[in-house]
Amino acid sequence: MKTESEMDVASPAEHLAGMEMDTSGTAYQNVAEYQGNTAHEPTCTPPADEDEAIIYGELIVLGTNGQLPGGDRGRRKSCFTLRKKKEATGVKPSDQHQVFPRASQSQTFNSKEHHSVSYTLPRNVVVVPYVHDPGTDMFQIGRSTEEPIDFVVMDIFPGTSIPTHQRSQQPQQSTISRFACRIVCDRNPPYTARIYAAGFDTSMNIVLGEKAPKWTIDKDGKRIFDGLTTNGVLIMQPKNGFSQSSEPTQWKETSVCGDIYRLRESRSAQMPGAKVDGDNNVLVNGTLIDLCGATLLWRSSSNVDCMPTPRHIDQLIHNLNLGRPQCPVGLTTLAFPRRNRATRETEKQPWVYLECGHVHGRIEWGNRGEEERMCPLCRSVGKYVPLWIGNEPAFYVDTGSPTHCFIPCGHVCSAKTALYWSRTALPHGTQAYNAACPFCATPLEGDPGYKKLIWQQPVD
Amino acid sequence: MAGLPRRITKETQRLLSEPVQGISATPDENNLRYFHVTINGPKDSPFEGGVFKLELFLPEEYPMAAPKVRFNTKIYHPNIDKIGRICLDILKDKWSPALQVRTVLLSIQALLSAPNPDDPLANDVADNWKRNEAAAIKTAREWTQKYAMSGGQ
Repeated sequence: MKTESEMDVASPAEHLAGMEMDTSGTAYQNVAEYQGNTAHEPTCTPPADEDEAIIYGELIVLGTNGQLPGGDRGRRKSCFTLRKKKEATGVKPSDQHQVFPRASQSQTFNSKEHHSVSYTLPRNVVVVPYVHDPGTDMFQIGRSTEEPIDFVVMDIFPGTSIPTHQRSQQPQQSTISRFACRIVCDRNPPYTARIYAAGFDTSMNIVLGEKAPKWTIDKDGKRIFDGLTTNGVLIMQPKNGFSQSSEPTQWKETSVCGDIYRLRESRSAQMPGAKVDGDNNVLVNGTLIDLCGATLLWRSSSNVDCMPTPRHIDQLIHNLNLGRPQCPVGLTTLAFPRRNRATRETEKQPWVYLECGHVHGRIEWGNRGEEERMCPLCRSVGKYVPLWIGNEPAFYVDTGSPTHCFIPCGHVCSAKTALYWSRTALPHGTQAYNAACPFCATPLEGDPGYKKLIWQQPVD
Repeated sequence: MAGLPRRITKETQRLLSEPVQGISATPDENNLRYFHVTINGPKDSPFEGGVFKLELFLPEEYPMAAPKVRFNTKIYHPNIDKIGRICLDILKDKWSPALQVRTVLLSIQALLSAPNPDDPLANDVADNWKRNEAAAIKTAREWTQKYAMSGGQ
């Protein structure tokens, strides 16, 4: 298993190495274009520095559809590109650990120049100083908007990315940690990226409180402290990367030191799960990272070539519209708006009867109770919702035509993409696991949770 | 007529450009929701050779409500009464807005081929049809000759 996943991370190396040499930089352009079209900020200009042209990968927040509901703002956005930094920013644990009655008695802890992790025990505090690692870059993710956070991630509420969503959500208490996790990338090929629970705060400390699960293990004859954060950082590394043949695997938890454990009995239980020795914390293409309140998808840079781009998606929309699908009731032509115009319901908006998949325009007929309607074509009764194109290219496993939609949100994507996400259970709240639409985070209903669309072509 | 829905315009255009065999439907020049319809009696039915006149009206709610259709030519049929009203489920509770004038007229044509005396509108006709089908068919044929052929009224 280990060799397989290492092969998976080895491939970016060849690719990226090629990219550095290749002045036309096709692969890079893909990413640049991708960035420019999805983010609101004009971040698409390639950095002048050659080092910064190297991309380790991208993180995309599930439940966003090209941008955050309400728009991207600065470090708070739907997609974050991890680029090689000018100067190495990585840190690694030092060999030593220091024991103090209180953390504040540690110089490392008090110094804003030095990173440290403190493990609060009943009678004292163990401080592990971290040292600069010239071979790696570190990226921090969390809810905090403080400076140490590279990618600010807030809770995602199901359905908020749908333009017609009714914003009735009461502000809930967030379950995402302010300094949730770190990703550390090797600055040299194959640019392996690893994920660790917890991020360093503004004082460059990680403090595991008295209640956090923590323990010591022996590694290479040394006693090492490790622990988990309250809600933890869960990862799911799909088999076969992120492709048409991808298969979801079990969710596991990564520790502060980056070891892999089985899930705890409940999300924030005090007992860690069993250690999984064969697994590692390397991000492979398609790895999902759950921060309890938001889930991120990792796409490694080697795979941008086989990933649809915004242009692809516009082409797919264009092809669908060229067929001039008709509403069998209004006899009007239906059309999807181009990606960047899909911000409200349009007159030509296609609607679907989710029970049968028949696509119509918006009509008022056949109400059966509050939520259900009868399809004029086949009389099956079920929900009737507007269709929206899945605009976020990163969530597609292939570049197939948008033939299917998720139930009940009506997000349209390729058949294989629908299948993949319908089989991928995502942590939902602190207890439940549920497959969800990647474009809006709405939990899927029924089995399989998606429907093939049936379009009517014009008769004349 | 102002404000004619696109759907009605499109249906009318297609009815005129691609008429269904044995059926004609022409909108009235003063009311584009009112159609003058003729249906030829289907082959191998007691109505063969007859040309039946009907009127079809698209109500304001159309297509969310069914068209109103009536025979103007007298016809001896268990599902069509003396004043030309038609007993056909898709004109009532089985209406769907995905149906069109074209499909409605095709259904009426099919009803002429296959009378259904078990769901009658004209009870006397239906009784005859069930009691003595041969005699009923004979009467239907006579009525066709009398009312639905050229010269007849």
